[in-house]
Amino acid sequence: MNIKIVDIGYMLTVMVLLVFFSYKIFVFRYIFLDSSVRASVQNITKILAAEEGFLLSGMKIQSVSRDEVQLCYREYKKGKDDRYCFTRSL
Amino acid sequence: MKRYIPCILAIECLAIALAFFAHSYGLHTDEAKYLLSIPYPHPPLMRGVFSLIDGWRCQEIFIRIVVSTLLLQSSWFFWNSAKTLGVAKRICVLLVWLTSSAVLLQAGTIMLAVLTAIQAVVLVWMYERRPNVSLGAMGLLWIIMLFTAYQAVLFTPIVFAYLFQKNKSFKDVCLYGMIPILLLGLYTLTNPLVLQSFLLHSRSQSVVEMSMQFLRVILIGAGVVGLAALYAAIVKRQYVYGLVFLMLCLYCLLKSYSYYAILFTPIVVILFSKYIQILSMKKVVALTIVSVCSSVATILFVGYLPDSTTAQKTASLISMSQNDVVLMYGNFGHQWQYVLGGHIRKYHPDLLDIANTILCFQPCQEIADSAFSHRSIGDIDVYTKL
Repeated sequence: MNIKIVDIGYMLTVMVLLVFFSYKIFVFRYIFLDSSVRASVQNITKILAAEEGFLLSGMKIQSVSRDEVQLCYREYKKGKDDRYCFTRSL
Repeated sequence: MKRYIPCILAIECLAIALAFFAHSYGLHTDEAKYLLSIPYPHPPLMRGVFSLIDGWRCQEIFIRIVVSTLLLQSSWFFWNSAKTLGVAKRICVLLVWLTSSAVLLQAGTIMLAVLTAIQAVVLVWMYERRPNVSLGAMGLLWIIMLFTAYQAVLFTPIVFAYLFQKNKSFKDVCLYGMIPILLLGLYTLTNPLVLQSFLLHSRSQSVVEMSMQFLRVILIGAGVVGLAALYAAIVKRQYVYGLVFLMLCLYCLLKSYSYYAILFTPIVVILFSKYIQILSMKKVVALTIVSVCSSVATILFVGYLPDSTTAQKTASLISMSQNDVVLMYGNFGHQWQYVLGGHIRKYHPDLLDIANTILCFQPCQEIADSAFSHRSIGDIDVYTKL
């Protein structure tokens, strides 16, 4: 069987992405499994964005547990972007 | 190789001219979104690459020239795909691609649809040259396409046809075709706000509006040659390209944004190259002339590049530093984030204390604070802290 470098490159890319996304899904598991966590996170994101004047496009959920969520806001602009992170109880 | 150099240089001059032409229309909200890599709704691959140089003063025009160059120089893939045709017919294929209205109008725009079109040209070339292209190369291109923009899934039939025809193996279809789509699904799940933004950006249009917009997209993307292409898809039994064309039509009926026009062009041009195999040279030349003339007419009468220079003009009239807080009242595009700098916030009364400038895109009577001076720039009310 003739395996080329691009085939190995493809397999490595797939493996890396699969591991990375699987880990991210594990971090966000409560959002998928618990509808009350999902609703609370959505609500907190909107309230935080309105209070601080953040644009929703810059909001990112960093991590979620049953009790709290860590949200980060990235201020997209030319050059270095500023980041602000907040932890809120659910 | 030497004999191609004047032609490559001429195409490059056209690419640079088209980049400056698009630049003169200002920065569009979607373009700013990709230049700054604002994460919705599309995956991060190409916008991530663009944002690597977002500190550069000339980032915008540099990326415009790169995208325009890639799009126009990708014509050489068609040149290579149409190897079985004579030189004169291959020149006609090149002309149809280079003078198509979608290519001329969209070459200098920083839109992911243009990047998908460039990748589609490579995909079509790989499909045409399938005995010489390895499965891994196709798999990598497929991952790159999917992680550039979601609309790449519309080219799935070409990928699956390549994979199946290569070794006639269902395992290959799963490994190289399905797994990248699965990875894209996993990426989407890890970005819950992406799903929400899909809903935020779905527009409600009447049937008449949708139909008119669809016709416009078809006219820019496929044009007169599109008819020949469809004929070729049936007569020359190019069902894979025919299916992609149909899927693009259905997609554009549902999400009829003008910039999707260019997605049609790679399919139309490759089908054109199939069609002219059976035509005499006279007919090919006539068809090419009709194509060029219809492109010019389309650009003159249907051309769509919207003027988006307001943000740049307004920003040049406001003096502010990078540490200023700017409150935005009403709806505004991402180009404002790009041109203004500073700390951009949505207007909230509690933030008035920290604000240096307020831009009102809708009338905002509630700002009667004497701490701000008021002036109007075009339709925008500007309040500056005294």
